Amino acid sequence: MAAPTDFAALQSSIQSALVQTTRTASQLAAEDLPFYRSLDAQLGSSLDRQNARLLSLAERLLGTATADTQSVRPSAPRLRDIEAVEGNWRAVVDVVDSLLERADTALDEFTGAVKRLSPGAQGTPERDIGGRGLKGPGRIAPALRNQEIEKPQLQFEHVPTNDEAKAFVPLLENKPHAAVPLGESAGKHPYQAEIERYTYPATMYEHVEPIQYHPFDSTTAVMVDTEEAVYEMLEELKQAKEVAIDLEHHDQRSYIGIVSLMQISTRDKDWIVDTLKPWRRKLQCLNEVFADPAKLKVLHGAFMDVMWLQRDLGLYLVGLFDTHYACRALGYPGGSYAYLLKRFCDVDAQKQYQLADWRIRPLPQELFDYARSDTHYLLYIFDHVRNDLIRRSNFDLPDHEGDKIHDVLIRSSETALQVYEHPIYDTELGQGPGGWYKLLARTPALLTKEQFSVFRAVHKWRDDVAREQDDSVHYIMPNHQIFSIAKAMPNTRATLLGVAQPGTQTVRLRADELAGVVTRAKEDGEEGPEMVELMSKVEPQIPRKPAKDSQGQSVAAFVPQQHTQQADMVNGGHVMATKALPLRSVTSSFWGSAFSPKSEKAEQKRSMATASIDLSVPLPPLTAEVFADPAEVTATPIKESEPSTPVTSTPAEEPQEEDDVFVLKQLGKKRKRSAPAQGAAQDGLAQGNDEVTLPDEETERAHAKAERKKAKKEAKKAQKAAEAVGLTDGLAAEEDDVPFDYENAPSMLHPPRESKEQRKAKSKKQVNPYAKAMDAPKSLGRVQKERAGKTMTYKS
Amino acid sequence: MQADRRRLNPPAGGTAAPIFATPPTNTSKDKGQTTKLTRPTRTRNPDEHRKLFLRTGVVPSASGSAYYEIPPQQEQQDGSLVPARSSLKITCTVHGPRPLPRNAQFSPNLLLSTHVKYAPFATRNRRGYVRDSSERDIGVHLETALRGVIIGERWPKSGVEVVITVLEGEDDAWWGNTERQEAGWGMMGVLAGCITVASAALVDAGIDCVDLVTGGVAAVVDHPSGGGKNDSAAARGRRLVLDPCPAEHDEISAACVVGYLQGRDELTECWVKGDGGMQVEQLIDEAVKASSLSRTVLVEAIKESVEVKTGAEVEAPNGEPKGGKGKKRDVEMTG
Repeated sequence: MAAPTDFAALQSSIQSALVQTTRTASQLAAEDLPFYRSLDAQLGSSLDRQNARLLSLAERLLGTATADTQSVRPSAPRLRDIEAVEGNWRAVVDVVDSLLERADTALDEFTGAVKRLSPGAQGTPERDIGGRGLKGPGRIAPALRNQEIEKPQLQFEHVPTNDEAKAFVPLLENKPHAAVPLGESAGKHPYQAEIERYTYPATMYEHVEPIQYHPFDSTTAVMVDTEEAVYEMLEELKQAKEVAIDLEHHDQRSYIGIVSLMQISTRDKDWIVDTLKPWRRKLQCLNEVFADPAKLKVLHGAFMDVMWLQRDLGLYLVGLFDTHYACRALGYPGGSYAYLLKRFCDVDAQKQYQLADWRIRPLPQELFDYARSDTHYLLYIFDHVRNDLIRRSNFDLPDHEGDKIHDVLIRSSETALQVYEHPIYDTELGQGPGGWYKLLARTPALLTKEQFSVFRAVHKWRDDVAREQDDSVHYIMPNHQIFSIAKAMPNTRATLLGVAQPGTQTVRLRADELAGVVTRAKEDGEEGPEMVELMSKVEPQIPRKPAKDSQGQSVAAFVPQQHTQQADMVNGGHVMATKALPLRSVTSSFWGSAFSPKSEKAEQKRSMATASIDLSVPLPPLTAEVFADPAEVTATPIKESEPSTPVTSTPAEEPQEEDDVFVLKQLGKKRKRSAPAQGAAQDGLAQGNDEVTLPDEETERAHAKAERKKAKKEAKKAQKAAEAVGLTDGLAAEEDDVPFDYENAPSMLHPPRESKEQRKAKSKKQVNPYAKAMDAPKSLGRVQKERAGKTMTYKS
Repeated sequence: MQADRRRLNPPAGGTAAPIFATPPTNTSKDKGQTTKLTRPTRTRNPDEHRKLFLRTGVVPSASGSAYYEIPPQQEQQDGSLVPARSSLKITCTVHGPRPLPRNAQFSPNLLLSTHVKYAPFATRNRRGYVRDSSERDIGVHLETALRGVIIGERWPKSGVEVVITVLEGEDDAWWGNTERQEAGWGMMGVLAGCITVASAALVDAGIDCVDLVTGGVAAVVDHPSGGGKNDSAAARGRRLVLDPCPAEHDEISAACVVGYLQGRDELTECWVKGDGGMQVEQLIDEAVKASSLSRTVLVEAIKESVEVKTGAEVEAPNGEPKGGKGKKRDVEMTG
């Protein structure tokens, strides 16, 4: 429109035009137009013309305002006449709202409150983080955690495209230390043969006094951020026999994630490699060390590191020793790096930095130190762990049975042999780590056809947007919001933003688009598959572990469902003499015949009859005669109930007969009793079911509400779990979509060891809020003395 | 116990329900001569369980409920109005899972609380309205038994209450025995029943469990000389019985209750009381056997309740089958 230079002039011209228009409009509104119209026919026609013109103007204005948004709704409302304005007022408000919203974001961007999504602004973020100390042991400065940084991946020589549909091709260009030449290796893993062939060198089996690390404070690490420095480092690494490696990874503002930092340590020196440089793939030259079977690579918890190395840098590890598996083999109480650090070096790891934004450059001192500490002590720890392994191993047994070093080798090789795959979105069945199935399977929410369709559509939309913007899916929209959107199915911008609270920036910007997606999915959902149907289609594809053969177990040898087997129940050679009689009794001395199957129907009928009697039968006066013959008493009401039934069914007649006198209570009672008259409800009541089965509207609503609550709870929990998985370097990521296996589920009493985070959470004391309430029924709270004078009990 | 004035309390010290110490004579001939009270004897085999009555969904307002009973196994023989043996009657309601109150601390697991209360009229010795130590004891044992089956991490920030009311408890000994000892053998049988009935109610409430836990009880009884006619002298004396009824035995020297997961062959609860001597392991094995037997009843009752639930759902004209399906699947997995 106008260049920002003459913005002042533009603003004043717009403002004056607006003021004039508003003034005229209010003047006109003050006049009695219908009166003038009736006076002068010409004025009337000219008024009509002006009205039509104004309407068309307004319509065009709305049209231009919505022209560039991807809103799918027939967005600009048609305004044919005055009534249309009234009718479409909400739509008009929506358009104005979205305009205001856009103005708001534009203002935010302009003032710098929010950075643009694309790297346009070159302004470097202010760094006031360097000097600030820690606030608490578990917290880091927020500036280190969330930084609005221009995406470094956009500067890479190979900018990540997130739309690969083919299999991942190894980045490897040449293959140092190849036993099988590049391109001829059998599997997808270029170093498969080499890793499978690898065994630890003989020095691994020798007890050697641990080599003390250099003091942390007096040494420093070399920052490697130029290609020349890489080659220098490589030369030095070639001299070393063991190398400790660790990575820092960032996955918030990147779809597939980026390795932000690589720490390498030898016995004498530490390096910190900046892997956010455009030439990062040149680091492939490190394969000369990493793939060298003569050099031991020590990592801790290499599960994800291996994937990241091959995905981003094309690096492979031959000769991996994962200290995490060593901890497991040795049965240490902890398996984390922090635990090892505490145990062997008496150093407290500051793991809170793990969550820092590792893309910050230049690296602040705290982060630099933390990164260095990750590998600085690792070789010393490795020495200790190796010695422990040797001490606990028994090398005499055949087949490496007592050889714990061999165990570690097997597990480490398995880790090193993992192959990275592109995340390909499965729209149909939602498989894969990023698919909707995993999310839904964890959350036992029951969605209707439409909701299910909306759920999948929103999930897909989130994935698409994440790929397009190159952000993680959780940055776009947290998991629980998908559920809340699927439940509410909002189809306007305003309701959508109300449901997705607190909305992320992306959701706010693309609310119109998302509302369109929801509307379309809702329509599609009507013909779409049922949730249960589709889920059950997916389930059989997942191989279940075969049920454990319980026949061999001592007492479990006996199948509970079959009574005939009771006689065969054997325990330690003791044969049971019990006859094969069913143990279950059908009668109860307490309930009588209330639950016997035959009596149910009759019971129901009888209770209904009595109910109607006490409603409508004018009972005879209670006289002595009644008590004289008990048989008559029981007989009378039943006889009388027949003629009086119409009275209850037509209460309208009553006023005439009884002279406008009626009892409110009676009417109320009637309404209530008639509810269980529905057939299904009767059955449910008769069989003593809980309220779930009643198709009564109120219970259903309550049920739905409970379910919604449950789903919400579950969604939150799932999100928490997802975060926890992220924390523990995704060690458990692959086990997620396996259905719960009751046979092999861990024992609740002796659960397997849990991660450090969980234990920490648990160590906080849990208070059972019901504990006190359970000690009920309580007597009076405190001793109440009887006072002289009037008692208050019968105060009225 | 000081002034509990909200209820009608009997005189302190506990009054007993009326006992007909001298039962009416059968015939008018030998009037003045009271019939001899005979202790009931165990007619079933040592490894035979009494019949059980189990039913879920008895309390519509609770999210899960069950009723457990060991009905009288045979007709009253003598003319006495007092039943020779007690018959165990337990109801259990499960409330929840429901959210913890706002002020409660975050809990990643389902918080389980159990509450066992005898009705005042449940035993021959009248019980108070406030829980006494033995009731709390049973509650704690029950909690350990259930804690081991519930998959708690599926219900973060929520609690579940298992409330058990013992309508009729098991006797500690035969009532006719004047010098009866208050050893508390009855509460062992009650605990076993509590475990089974709570398990049924949990399933009824749809709370995820790794398996069905059932309770079983066994005892070492000292057999008096007149007990087993065919028993050899060696076998006379101590012997193991499964599902003991304290009224039938002169002297119980040890008893054991277990909470047993048959599908996984695990014990979640094991309580041995008394002096088992060398037979403790056998005693536990017997208790495990008893719980396997009560599991047959539990499985049957649950299956039946599921059938009723799903059957009703199919009949409902516009009822969604979803809920029913979900429930059904759950149960199939556990069974």
